[in-house]
Amino acid sequence: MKRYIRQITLSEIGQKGQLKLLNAKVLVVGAGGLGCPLLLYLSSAGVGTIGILDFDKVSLSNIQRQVLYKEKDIGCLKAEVAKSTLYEHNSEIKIESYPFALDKSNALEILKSYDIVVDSTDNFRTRYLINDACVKLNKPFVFAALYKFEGQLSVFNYQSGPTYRCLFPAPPIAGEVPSCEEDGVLGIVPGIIGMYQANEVIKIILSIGDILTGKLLSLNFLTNRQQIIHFDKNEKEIDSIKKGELSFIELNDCKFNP
Amino acid sequence: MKVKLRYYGKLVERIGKSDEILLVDDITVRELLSILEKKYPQLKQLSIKIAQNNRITNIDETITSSKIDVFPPFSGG
Repeated sequence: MKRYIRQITLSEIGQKGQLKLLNAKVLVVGAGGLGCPLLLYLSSAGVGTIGILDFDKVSLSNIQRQVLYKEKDIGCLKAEVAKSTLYEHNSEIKIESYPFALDKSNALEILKSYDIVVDSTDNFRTRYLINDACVKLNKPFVFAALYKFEGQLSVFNYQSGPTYRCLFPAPPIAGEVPSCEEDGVLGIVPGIIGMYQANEVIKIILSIGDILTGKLLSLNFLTNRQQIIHFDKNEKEIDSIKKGELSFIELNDCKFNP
Repeated sequence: MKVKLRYYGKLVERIGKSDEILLVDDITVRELLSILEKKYPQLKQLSIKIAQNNRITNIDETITSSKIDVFPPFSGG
C-alpha cells in the first residue's frame, strides 16, 4: 500500500478507497490517443484488474499522441505493448490484453468480467456495440470522443441511467462523421480528455463526487469553454436494446478494419 | 425572438461559423432544424442535437431560450 500513500492520505480515498480501487475491474476498449494516458493513470492509481482491448498495431504516426508506445514498438500489437509498459509502472496489478477487435460474438463474454467499461475507441460501430452490451450486462461505460480541439464526455448506463442511444439513438450515416484517421489531432487534446475519463472511472469506483450521468460534458480547448448539457433517459430505446439481439451496425468509419 | 445558435465540432466547418443570431417566432425544434437545413443544405442527413437551457430538447418542444446549442456526435479517439 506504500506506493499509494499520497492518494490514501486523501480523506475521499483512505485505506478503504484504495481497497476498492484494488478490487475494481476496468476494461479499456481502444488503446489509442484517449486510452494510453488513461491506462497509465488507472494502473498507477492501483486499479487492480485492467483489461486492454485493441486490435491495432503501433505505427509511427501514433506515437505523437499514444504515449505508451515507443519507436521500437512500431509494428507490435498495441494491447500487448500497453500491457508490458503498464507492468513496468505497476507490477502489483493484473493486466489482461485482448489484441483483437470487439465484435458481437465476443462483446458480452469479454465485458461481463469487468465492473466498468471505458470507451476510448474512435468509431461509432464499436461505440454502439459497447453501449448495447453494457445495457444488456448492466454495466456503466465511460465515454469520450473528440473532434479536433473539442471533446464530448459522458458516463452512460450508470445505475441504469441514460445510455448513448438516449442521446444519439441512430448511428450516423457512413462517412458522415470522419474521425482522427483523416482529421488532424493534437496529442494534448485526447490526453486531457482521457484524463477526464480516468477521473470518472476513479469516482465511480470510489462512489465520490458527481458522476457525469445524464450529462454530456462539452469541452473546447481553443476557447477553454466547458459546458454540461443534460439529457433524459429514453426507456423505449433501452427496452429495445434489452429485448433485441446484440448487433453490429453497418458503418465504415475510421480504423475499423480488423 | 432573437436566438443565438452555437455550433460544435464538424458543424462549424460545414457552416463556416461557430455561432450566429437568428430571428425566429414561436417555433419548435423540428421547425428550427428545417430552417437550418434549408439555410445550410450541407447539414442534411447529419445527426444533430439541439439543446436549450443546457438540456437536450425533444423534437416537438418550442424554442423558448435565446441561447441554443447545435451539435453532432463526435467519433475521434
